[in-house]
Amino acid sequence: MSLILQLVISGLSVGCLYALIALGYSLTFVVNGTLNMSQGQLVMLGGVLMFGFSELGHLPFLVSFALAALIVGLLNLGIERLAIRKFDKGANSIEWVLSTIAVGIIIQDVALYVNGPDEGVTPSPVGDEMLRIFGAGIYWKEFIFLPVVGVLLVLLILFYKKSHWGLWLRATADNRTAVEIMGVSSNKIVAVAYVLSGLLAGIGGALMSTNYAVSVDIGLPLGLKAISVAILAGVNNPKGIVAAGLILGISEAFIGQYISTAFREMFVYGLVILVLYWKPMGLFNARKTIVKV
Amino acid sequence: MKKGSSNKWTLGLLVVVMAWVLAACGGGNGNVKEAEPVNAAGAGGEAASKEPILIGMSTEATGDNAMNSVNLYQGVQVAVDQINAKGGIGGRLVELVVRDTEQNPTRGISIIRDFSQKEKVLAAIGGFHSTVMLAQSPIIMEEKFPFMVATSNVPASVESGMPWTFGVRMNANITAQYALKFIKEHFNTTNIAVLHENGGYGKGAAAAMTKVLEAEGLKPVAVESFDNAKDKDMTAQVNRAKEAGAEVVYLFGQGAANGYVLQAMDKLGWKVPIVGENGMANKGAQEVGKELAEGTYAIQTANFNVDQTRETAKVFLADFTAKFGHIPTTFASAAQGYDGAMMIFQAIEKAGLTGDLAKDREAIKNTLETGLGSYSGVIKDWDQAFTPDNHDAVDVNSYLMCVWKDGKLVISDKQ
Repeated sequence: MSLILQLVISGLSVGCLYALIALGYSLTFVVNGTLNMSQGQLVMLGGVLMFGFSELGHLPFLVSFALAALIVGLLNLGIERLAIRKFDKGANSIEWVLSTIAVGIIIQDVALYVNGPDEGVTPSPVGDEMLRIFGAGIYWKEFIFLPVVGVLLVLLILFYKKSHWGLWLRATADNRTAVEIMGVSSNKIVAVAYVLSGLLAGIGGALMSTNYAVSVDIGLPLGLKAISVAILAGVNNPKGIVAAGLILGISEAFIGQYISTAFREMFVYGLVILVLYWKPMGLFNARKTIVKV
Repeated sequence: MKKGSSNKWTLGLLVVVMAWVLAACGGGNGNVKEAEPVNAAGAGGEAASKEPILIGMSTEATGDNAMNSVNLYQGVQVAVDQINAKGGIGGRLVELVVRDTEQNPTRGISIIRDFSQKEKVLAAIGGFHSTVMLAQSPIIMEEKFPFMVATSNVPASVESGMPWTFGVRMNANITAQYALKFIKEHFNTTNIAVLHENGGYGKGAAAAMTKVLEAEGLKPVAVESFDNAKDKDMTAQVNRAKEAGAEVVYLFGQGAANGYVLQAMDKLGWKVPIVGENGMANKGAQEVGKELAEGTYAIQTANFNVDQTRETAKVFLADFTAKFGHIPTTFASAAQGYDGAMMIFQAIEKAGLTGDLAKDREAIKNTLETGLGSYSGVIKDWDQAFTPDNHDAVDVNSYLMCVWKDGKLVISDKQ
């Protein structure tokens, strides 16, 4: 019993991370159909910046956190301008795949030059103590991931539902031409989506660095895992993405325990493909609307 | 109008980005740059005017092992600086031809071809990443030049009929013998679980430990693997080792991954002695594991956190610190890189160069095997480090058991 609980809560913290990164994919995909393939490297950048500001620059935790998130958010504004807008020429364009992959490689190489290959963990303000739930253990610094992801999800939904930017974002997702006719610059809306997506990546990386070691090469595997979470859930459903992230994290723990650790990845991705056979649009995709909030 | 202004914007942003990238490159902190000539300040003008002696340096500057691999490269750089400060070898300066394998075996292979055919190096050193080294070994045999393996633990890269590779490294088979003796002596058990990363490094260690246990009619109680770059949750692996009744964990991951294993053990409330090697000695395990790393063992061949007793080690450490501003972070790799490079230099000096590349390479190899003579290194004194049958310089008596104490890796009281 304790082992099962342990597997569930061990999977949860990794799952939170997947969910947070996957939300970033969703934000941009719904507005103009592009996925930022450098999302994983942006998460890495957030983590490395967080460690740099907090451990090497000795800035307070929250200041470092905000700075890391903001810088990555603003960087994504530049990425949208340079690597997306020119290459996004409508529904069939795929040039942005290459341009964003290239951006990811550039980010990683520049980070390696500036930061070097070191691995670092930022001390968490909640300390290194462990929380015991019926014998199963989870560090507070991991446990905190859950409420943070929850709060971010609520904020995102509120943004979509309550703010006029959120409304425009959903409207752009629905019909870009109509939005332009109404006198709203759809380019600006896409840019806003990218900044938000970058913020999420920055927050994801900064949060991650409080429990996991961040180094310049962690981006790609994380980005791939998160993109499969987004597709598994259905890219247009933020709540679904969080659920799918958690499900994937927990399944990984169980597959590791009861099937194989060596073939864990193979089983996970195999499972993703099976689900897509069964539900081609993803588990929680809502066809009737463009963004399900 | 709109188009024109948007182009200007794009151009402006591009310029800013480029300027930033350039500034970042300029500010780089000693990362590997390709084919960087290493010139000593004190070398005479006469030596500098002659053709340099080219030595290949195959290293990992990118990937999750880069942080440790750079120690090997830095150790070699110190050796090159020292030899060049003395005027080089036979009046010729030594120059490194540095290549980054990016932890990619295919790239590693083309680097070996490049060393041999394009750069025409006399000999080469490297071999940190085991998977890459395993791929490089047969190619080195084809290209026929001496290669010093200065970290990779996989026995096959030097043993099993490889005439051109030499090892100043902790051969997994010898390490396992040493570790088993240590575990039996101090923990009085043979119930060992092997937890290893799934690349050449971890697999080599697992196979070696299984072999030495089998020689005594035993086997590991559990052998579990993980992906060093991807796996962050090790609950499953650790739980199986625990349930199998292990009393010692033989841990062969690299850096942070080892830390995740420590965390999983902590969560499952399982505390047993942990014995690892280089992967346990580097900062990543300590960063993630924090106080959990206290009391874990790391097998090394040197330790630079304590006062050095050996003369060569004192000079090496002083030069290293002066050049890089800190002591090595992975002790064994830095020491082995230095000693390996120095042995090559000594062999070149003793062999004498004729100018015929194939003959010179052959002569260096033969000298390493039979005519190297005594060499006093950072690790220890060798009378004759290699023989035609044994290309591993590090034997069971060259090891130094280290332990994490108050966040520092120090020499263990238990040896």
